[in-house]
Amino acid sequence: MSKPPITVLLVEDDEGHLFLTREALTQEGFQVEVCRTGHEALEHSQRTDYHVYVIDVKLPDLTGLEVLRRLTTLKPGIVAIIVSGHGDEMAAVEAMKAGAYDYVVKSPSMGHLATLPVVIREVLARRQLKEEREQLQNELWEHTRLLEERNMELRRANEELKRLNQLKSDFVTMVSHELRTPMSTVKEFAGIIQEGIAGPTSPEQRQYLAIIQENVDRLSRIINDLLDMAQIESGQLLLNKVMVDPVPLVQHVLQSMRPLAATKGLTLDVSASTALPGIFADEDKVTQVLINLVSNAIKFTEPGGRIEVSAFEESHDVEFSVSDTGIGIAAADLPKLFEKFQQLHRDPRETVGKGTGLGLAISKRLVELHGGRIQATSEPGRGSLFSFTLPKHQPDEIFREYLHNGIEQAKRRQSRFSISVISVTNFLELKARYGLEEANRILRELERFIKHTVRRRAGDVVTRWQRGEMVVILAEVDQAGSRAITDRIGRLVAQQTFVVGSDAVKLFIIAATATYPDEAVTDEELIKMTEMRLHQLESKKLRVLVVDDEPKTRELLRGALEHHGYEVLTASHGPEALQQLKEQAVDLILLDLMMPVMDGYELYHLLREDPRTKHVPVIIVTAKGDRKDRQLGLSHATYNYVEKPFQFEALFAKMDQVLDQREGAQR
Amino acid sequence: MMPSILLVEDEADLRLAVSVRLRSAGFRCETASDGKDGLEKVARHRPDLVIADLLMPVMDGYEFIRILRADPNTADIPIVVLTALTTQALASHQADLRDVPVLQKPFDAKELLDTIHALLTTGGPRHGGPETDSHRG
Repeated sequence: MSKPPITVLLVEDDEGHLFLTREALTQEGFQVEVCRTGHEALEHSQRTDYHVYVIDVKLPDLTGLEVLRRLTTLKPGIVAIIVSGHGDEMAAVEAMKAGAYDYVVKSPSMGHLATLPVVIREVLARRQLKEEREQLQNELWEHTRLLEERNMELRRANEELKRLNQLKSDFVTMVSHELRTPMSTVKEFAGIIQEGIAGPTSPEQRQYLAIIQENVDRLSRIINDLLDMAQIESGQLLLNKVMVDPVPLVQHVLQSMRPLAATKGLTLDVSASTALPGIFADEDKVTQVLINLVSNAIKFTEPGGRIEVSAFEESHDVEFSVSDTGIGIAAADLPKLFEKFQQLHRDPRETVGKGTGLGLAISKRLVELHGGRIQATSEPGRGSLFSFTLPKHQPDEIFREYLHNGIEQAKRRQSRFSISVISVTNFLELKARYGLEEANRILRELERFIKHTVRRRAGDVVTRWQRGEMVVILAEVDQAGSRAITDRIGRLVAQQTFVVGSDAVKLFIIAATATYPDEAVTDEELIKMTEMRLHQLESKKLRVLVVDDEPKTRELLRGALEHHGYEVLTASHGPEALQQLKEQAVDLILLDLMMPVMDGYELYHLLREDPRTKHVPVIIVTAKGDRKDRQLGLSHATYNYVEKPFQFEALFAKMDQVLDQREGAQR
Repeated sequence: MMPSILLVEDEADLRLAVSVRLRSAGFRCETASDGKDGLEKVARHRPDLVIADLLMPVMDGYEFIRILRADPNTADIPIVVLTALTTQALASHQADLRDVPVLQKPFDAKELLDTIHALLTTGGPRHGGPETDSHRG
């Protein structure tokens, strides 16, 4: 099948050129129409579409350029080739700018007639490529738009789901609220009558009233269970995890269950390692699980029986277990034990369903929310053993959990959440000097110290994070609050001395805070923010140049200054000091007076003359009797000096004073 | 003189039950049906202790407690909250209910009386901002 011919509108007033061009194009298989003026061409194109327009630059009425402009306005995207006279390339360039696809320059020998068909084909090919590209681009845009639409739909669906979940949770909360108030009234009046407050009652009446009260309590337990389950299933239950010491927790549970065990004539014992690692868990929820297991054991154990609660450390977790000498559970029933609404007929004499059948199902989910497992084994007639594990955590994991929980809670409560990261800048030095173990011990001491320093409120936590870094988690504290607390920690730690062997050690800390949601909305961002700020602080370390010809003095000063958190440069004589100062700026110079090559005074004056060092404070370190300031006729006030042999305390006090003055002057 | 207690509760039946209980335990008891009513009663006669519900019409318990705490004349009146809200729902108001014992409905009458006695012996909430209430050592 032959392709339809390519149509060309040739706009040319020179008859000779017109004739020759038309001939050349027709021979090449183009279908050519001709216009001799610009207006004629415009008129033609109103009626007909052409594949290509070949336009001469010079026309009797309009310029070729003008024709091109009007044509492109009329029919955007047309393919036009401009034919310019020899030596009129400027017009061709203009035409390209105006949207022509190409140009051909007329040659006196008519050689351009041979190139014109080639140019036309090439231009059309280019045009086609361009169209294809545009089409692809459009398809891509369309795809992107569809994707975005899908995303919007998903987001809307997600929002809807969240809303429904919230609705469900609100509904359960509302129903429970509506039930509890009338229950309180019933219970209260039953109590008032039973206790004889409203007048005398018979023993029988009092017994019945006690039953009313017991049943109200049972109703309230059922409501609690249903609420728990609803919250767990809607994913609304947030664990409030903190470091929990398992031993007191077990003791506490035993204490609260002892009266119930005693009324049934049961022994309740505990067996637990004395030193268990802390677990990172929601204390209330773990207590709830243990109480549930113990009260089940009490319920299903005959008088005279024994219940034992134990807690032991395993390799990856801490295991809690509750064993009884009760009636036990049939093997067939064991798998169903942790399912919802399971009321097993464990004892034919026991009335069915004193609860909701949700207790174990809730326990299982609570344990699993903690990342643990729960299981039961039993020997019918001999007793049952329920045990659950809670994982041990690495400090880093705990830190992440704290962050994650903190942000989730702040989100839910629409409140703030801040962290303050405290970095011990001389940790590595402490480690080098006293060993890792001692350095870590000092950190633990710092941790305790900070714990006592920060306001203790539910949700506030101090935890160690990375080597030499510690994080204070501040729930419901805003930016200003967290800065105030962080500053206070800094002040108090600066005053504090820590003891290692016979040494008194100072800890140098830098601290940075970040607040959700003002400065960051994810845990990653919070960490990044504090890290960036710590880094800034780190790089803001003050730099001191020590100029002294005595290597021992230099090293002594370097050690002491670095220990104090300064960055230290040293020079052994004046020229070296000047060289150092050319390379980098310093905040303070400690200058020895008696030096070879160039003495301190000379160097001092050179420093004062140089605009780069003119404002850098200098402290002159001089041996007693070396001071020549008076001899040199300089006023005492010109210098800051410290006399050798100096006390470091005096030196640091002087440095602080000088640096404060400098900062004051800068402000 | 017998200590006086103001009971702020919107449910009339429960209001009656608790006030009967309080009077029989030897307290003078005034009642109010919402937070606004409660504030008016406090202005007329300053009680030794306040028992308040949280969800109430006109003015809820949170607002009522906030206003009591903000006014230096009433800031130190001990408060007990009686509520049917769940602990989870209460968690979002943790900050508002600092230093306030919360009893969940249906409450135990003995627990309520014990809480009241304890508060009347130790007095109202301790004062001091978050910066000063840290416990050292």
